[in-house]
Amino acid sequence: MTEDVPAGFRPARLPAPFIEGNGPMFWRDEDGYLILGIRVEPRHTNAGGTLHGGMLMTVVDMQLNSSLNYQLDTGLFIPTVSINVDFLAPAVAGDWVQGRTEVLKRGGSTVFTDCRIIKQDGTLIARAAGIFKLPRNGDPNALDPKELFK
Amino acid sequence: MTPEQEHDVPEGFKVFGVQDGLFGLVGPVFGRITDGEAHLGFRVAEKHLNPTRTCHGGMLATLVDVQIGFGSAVALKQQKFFPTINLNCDFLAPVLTGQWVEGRTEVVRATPRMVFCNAMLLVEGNPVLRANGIMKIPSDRDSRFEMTRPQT
Repeated sequence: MTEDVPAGFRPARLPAPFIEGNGPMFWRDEDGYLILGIRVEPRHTNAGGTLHGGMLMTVVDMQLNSSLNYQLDTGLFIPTVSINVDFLAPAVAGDWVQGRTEVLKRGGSTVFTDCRIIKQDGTLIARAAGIFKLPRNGDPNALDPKELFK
Repeated sequence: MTPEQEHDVPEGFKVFGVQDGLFGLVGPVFGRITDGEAHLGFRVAEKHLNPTRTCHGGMLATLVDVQIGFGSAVALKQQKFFPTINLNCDFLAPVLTGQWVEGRTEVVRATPRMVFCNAMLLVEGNPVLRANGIMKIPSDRDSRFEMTRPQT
């Protein structure tokens, strides 16, 4: 496990076995936005030696999803309805990639988001849009957001 | 789930992909080519779960990312990796531990340098993820995308 992360980033507590396996992911606050980041390792790559599209999809999904928990201050589990990702540039092992999410609209049960994923030098590697479904209050899967990001 | 159960796959499926990258980490993922069509699949295990104990969207997206790329390459009879330009995934239904997830690809249109395709992930014949993808077809002179190692 590499702990070689940019200043201010702390391990994110994302209680999913899938993320425990391919993480750790790290987070920091930037003007009230959740910035989620990961150091690309060889185990995240494809046969061409670049960040696997599936891992990038995972980073996008977690960036969007965790930002909803953080920026809407809720511990609800918010399932993904749809994500649309444009792959703009590759990343390789050793690169640091991080994202930032805009919540475009929060309806009664649907949230519309978009995010951008960049590399350490600012290169845009992915642009994504996501639609999420807000569960009703009283969701038994809800967590305390203050436990997730502290 | 034991390794034996993870390897309990439909007839003809073999371990797919290079094992020193992401598929070694999140796999085993399996592949089968029948009648010129590539199908990828995996059986959902503990390591694939999200906090509500269903399969994480990132794992389904990982499978479908390769289902669109490899599926299109096989359909077009090309020995290359097709890098993804765009992938849109609709998550239709949750997938539970132990379930076998299997993909299929439909090439909608291919130009000399681009492929547009649809893909579906199914559990027991029911759609759980619908995707559409756009891939680039690399030039024959671009050695970065040659399929130098066998995938299945």
